[in-house]
Amino acid sequence: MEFIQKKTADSAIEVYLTKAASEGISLTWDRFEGQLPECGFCETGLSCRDCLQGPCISHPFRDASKEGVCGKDRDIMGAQSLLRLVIKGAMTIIAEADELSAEIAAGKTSPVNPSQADFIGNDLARLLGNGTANVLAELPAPLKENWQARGVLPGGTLKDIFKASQKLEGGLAGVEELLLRGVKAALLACMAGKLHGRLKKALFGAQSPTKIEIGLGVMEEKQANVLLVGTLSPFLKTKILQAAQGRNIKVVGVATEPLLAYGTISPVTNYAAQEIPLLTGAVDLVVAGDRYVNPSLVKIARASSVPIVYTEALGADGNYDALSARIMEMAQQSFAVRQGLDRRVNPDRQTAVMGFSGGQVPARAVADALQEGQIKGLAIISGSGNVKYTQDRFLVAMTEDLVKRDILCLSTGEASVTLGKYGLLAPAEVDKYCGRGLASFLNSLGKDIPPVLDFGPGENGAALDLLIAVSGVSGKSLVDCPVVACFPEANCVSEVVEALWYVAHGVTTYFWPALPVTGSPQTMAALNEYLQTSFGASLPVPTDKRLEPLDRSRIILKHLKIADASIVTQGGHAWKRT
Amino acid sequence: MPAIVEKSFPSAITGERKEEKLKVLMVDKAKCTGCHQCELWCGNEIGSVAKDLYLAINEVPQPVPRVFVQGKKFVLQCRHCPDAPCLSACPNGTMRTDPETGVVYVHEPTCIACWMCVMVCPFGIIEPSSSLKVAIKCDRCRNMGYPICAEVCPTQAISLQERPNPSPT
Amino acid sequence: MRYVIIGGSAAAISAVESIRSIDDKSTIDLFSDEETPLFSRVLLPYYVAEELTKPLLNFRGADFFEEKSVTPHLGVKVLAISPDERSVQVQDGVYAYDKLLIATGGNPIVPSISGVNKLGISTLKTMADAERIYKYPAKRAVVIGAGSIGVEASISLQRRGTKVTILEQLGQVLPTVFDEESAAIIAKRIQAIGVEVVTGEKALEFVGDEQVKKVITDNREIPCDLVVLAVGVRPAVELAVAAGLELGAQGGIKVDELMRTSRPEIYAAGDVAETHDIARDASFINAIWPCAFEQGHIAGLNMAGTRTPYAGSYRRNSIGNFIGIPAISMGLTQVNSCATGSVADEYREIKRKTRDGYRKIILRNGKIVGAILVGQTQKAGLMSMLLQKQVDVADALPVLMSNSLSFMDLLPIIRRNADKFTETEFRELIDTGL
Repeated sequence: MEFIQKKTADSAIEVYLTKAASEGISLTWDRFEGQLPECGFCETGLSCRDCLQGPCISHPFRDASKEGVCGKDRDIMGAQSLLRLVIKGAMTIIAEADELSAEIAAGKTSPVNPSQADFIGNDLARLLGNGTANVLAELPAPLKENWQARGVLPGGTLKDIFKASQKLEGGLAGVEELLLRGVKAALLACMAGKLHGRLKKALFGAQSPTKIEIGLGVMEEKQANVLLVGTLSPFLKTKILQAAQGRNIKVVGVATEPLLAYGTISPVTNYAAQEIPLLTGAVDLVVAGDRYVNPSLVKIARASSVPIVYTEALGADGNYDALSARIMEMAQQSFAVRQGLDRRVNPDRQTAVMGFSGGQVPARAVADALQEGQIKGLAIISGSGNVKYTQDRFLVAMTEDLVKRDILCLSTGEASVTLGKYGLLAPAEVDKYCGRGLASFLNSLGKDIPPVLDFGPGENGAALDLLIAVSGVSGKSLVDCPVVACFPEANCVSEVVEALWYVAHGVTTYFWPALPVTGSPQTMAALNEYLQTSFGASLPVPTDKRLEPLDRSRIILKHLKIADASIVTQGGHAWKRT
Repeated sequence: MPAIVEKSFPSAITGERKEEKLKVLMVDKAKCTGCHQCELWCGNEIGSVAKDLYLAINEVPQPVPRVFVQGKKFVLQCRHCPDAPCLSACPNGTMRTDPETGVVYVHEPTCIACWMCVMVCPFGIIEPSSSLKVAIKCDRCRNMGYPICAEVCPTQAISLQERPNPSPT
Repeated sequence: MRYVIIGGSAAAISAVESIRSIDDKSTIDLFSDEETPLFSRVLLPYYVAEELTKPLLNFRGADFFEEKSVTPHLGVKVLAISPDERSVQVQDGVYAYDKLLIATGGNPIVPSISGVNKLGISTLKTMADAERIYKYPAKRAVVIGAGSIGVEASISLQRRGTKVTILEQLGQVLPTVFDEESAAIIAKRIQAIGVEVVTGEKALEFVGDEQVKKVITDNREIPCDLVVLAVGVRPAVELAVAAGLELGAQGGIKVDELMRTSRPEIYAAGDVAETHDIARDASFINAIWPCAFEQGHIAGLNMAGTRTPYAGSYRRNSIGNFIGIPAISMGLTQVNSCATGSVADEYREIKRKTRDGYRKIILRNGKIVGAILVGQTQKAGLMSMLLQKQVDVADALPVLMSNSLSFMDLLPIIRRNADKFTETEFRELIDTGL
């Protein structure tokens, strides 16, 4: 089966696709083709592997296999497929917050604001313990009351995560109950993620907008390059940056947070293309964690004799001074061997300004601009890229359409990196991309403001905090504000969790690709109507695979009551027959 | 029943055996994992109106796959018998043979749902669809490039092959 | 070689195709007293139900005769056969043959009930009958006889808005086709459509002036303006009898395994022929479409010079989509009613009733001789094959009775009984890649 779809919109990446093909290196896209057609039961949420009597399916076209061995029907399977993702995603987010807290407790650094760090660390522990956290007390009262009434107010890891996982073991929970369990788990993760963000602030100080270079071109052909991949301890990253000082070693990253208090780690590309930097021949050492790191990276690195430092192994070196020194040593040795090899780096790079989560965007100003019609709405843009779509195409084209229509776009995490590659985080490009109202609003915020504002990792909740603050100063609930969240190319489970918590806050969220619930009419309906009734916002699952980027942004504009949303559909299935 | 005939003569009209041209779907029992993907995609691509899994799932009447994953991990679809009993049982010529390929197919516009073909199929692969009021069976994707079941089979248990040469009788 | 075929339905057409698959030189003259050839008699109730238009009744295309180089004589009645001269006489002449096929089918039985000749009373056998009933502006109809045609005709009329009563003198609907239990399920379905079902009552008189007004039975009067007679068919053996051909015990033309009559150059096939019935293990007339087609096929092959024995006939009926659920029956319907043969034979009946389904198998000495499937019928063909081949299935009964029965389950049985299949058949069955 051949996959007829352009692989990437990024011309710098495309160069290396040809190279990979000629060298017989299998990339994400090739492996995706090998998976096609993906299991239709799993894709639509009609499968279950929760016990050892299975695996079971609910067959849409065969009466004899409509229910699993235990009697789960398509609706329960669909709702549970979603819950399963949510539990896993929530655990990831919580684990990260907990790890940082543990590192502080272990004395890895002295925080900028020690008492604050201490306070937040304790608050996180209480939140995860039994849910009695200050972070919940700050919530707008109506929101908190509603959550209380719906039974989704976080109550600690045992009650929210463990209990939700029990729902996959059987029982009588219907679609709505399962969905609420998911919301509850998501809200616990939301609060943990938020505390995680605050902890960073207490450790390193408030984030200020920072100029950074993005693109493969940041790597140096004539010096050693260390590539940091995935989620890594900020302490370790800081140590590595410090160790690299004055050593003629360039530290770059992919799918890792680029901004540190100490300095920046330039993203060479985004998650979806994380294998490509290795194809330049200029990566001399890989430092990798777990989250966002594709196992294929190891194979490609080995094949091109690039050493890898794995930081997440049980019993891994916790002495970051020693580890970073060793990393530098290894990088230099590797470069000594590799400098004679073919190193050809595509010079494309873009300037970006990232890091607006530190309060540079006053909620009052945003509320006023909304009031005056200078900007028409707020959109959170998230999602780390998905091989099911031409890399970057949807995310970039949709965001361009939104800013053109005076929507203030707040991007998070990998979405920021993606937009940065195309100049959407470059202050010089405001007039090129933005509608007149948005452009003048951005200029009013100060110098060097880009078309799209990066708000750091999505799970730290800075963008959502701004939305809540705007609703606060407007005296309206979020449900009544022109806000929306959008994941044009989502790939990982934590993004599903984020989507659910946005909705629980009253922010309708558009999520692509379709969540694995499409086989369950009840779950599909509940994500629209039941969530709307419960939280005033919905998580619609768009299933039309033919929608082009502008069709999709029209859906969002229509939600914000802006454009006459005439949807133009064209194209066909993502996969075609030969 | 024609199937009992010892047909050891070539057809005087075509001068050759039809089955020599016929390719059939072969199933390797050892490779079939019983994953039902063939049924799912056949139901979607051939059985449904929408041809889009997200929509096909909720289609009424329920789309009917032409291939059957049976009990012990084995796939069965129409064998397109050279002397197909369904052809002689059909009372109005709805069951037809493609003279080019030997594929036996249901000409749905004329099917009157009498289920005579169901009554005689020794493989039990013709589905009497009360809701669609037609007899439904595999036409080996005669209007498509390649049989969908063989295309989607993750283990390549289903493949399109020449019908084995008839042994001398 | 000159071939003459009398008849224009399944057996005749099937014979033409078989002859032409071997011999494309010789002449074929086909005589049919129907003006409209190539239409399928079993579909006439569908025509009445307005589910089929006339062209869709045809089981072969209009250019069939031309394509097969057949000289059709349509609407031409054969007056006599002269076996010694090897010729047939028609109104305008005499046609000589080397091989003759009698496929004259059956004549509908017109019961000798008082008033049976009144206007508004018709059989349903020919296209003309169907058109007459189709065009008749009936408000209330009585269908006499609850066989397949009777049941289908009543539902067809009811669907078109005519209030229908179906009258059966035996105790159940479809008495020769289904057993009591399955007939009860079907009767319920028929009633749900709106047809009044009266069983165990006999029509005694048709009353009316010229036009029928009511039907009088043993214990009621049913007002009506249309009566459809569907009490069955008798083999149309008049020509054969006049020609001195031997008849069988059931009154059909007796044929051997090559479909030859008592005159070896004359063959018979279809509803007129009496063949060996596998299920009954006795000589019988199985007046059903698939048998007619098979017999015509065998007759054609033998007429064209091959030696192709007929394995035997057995009854197979499908009630079609008329009642909303599929129902298929084959062979014997119950042990007592139809059983013939040796006293040493051991019969068994296994049945299973589900909410809206029914399945029964009748075994004779461990071999299937009858099966009834209502609801879940998709695997009926498997039973049919096992019945035809008379293989021992005594150790496979649970799987045969199961709704999850699949072809896979039969493989061991087929392998064990390889000798009962021809090599071609066996290969077709086994060569699924197994």
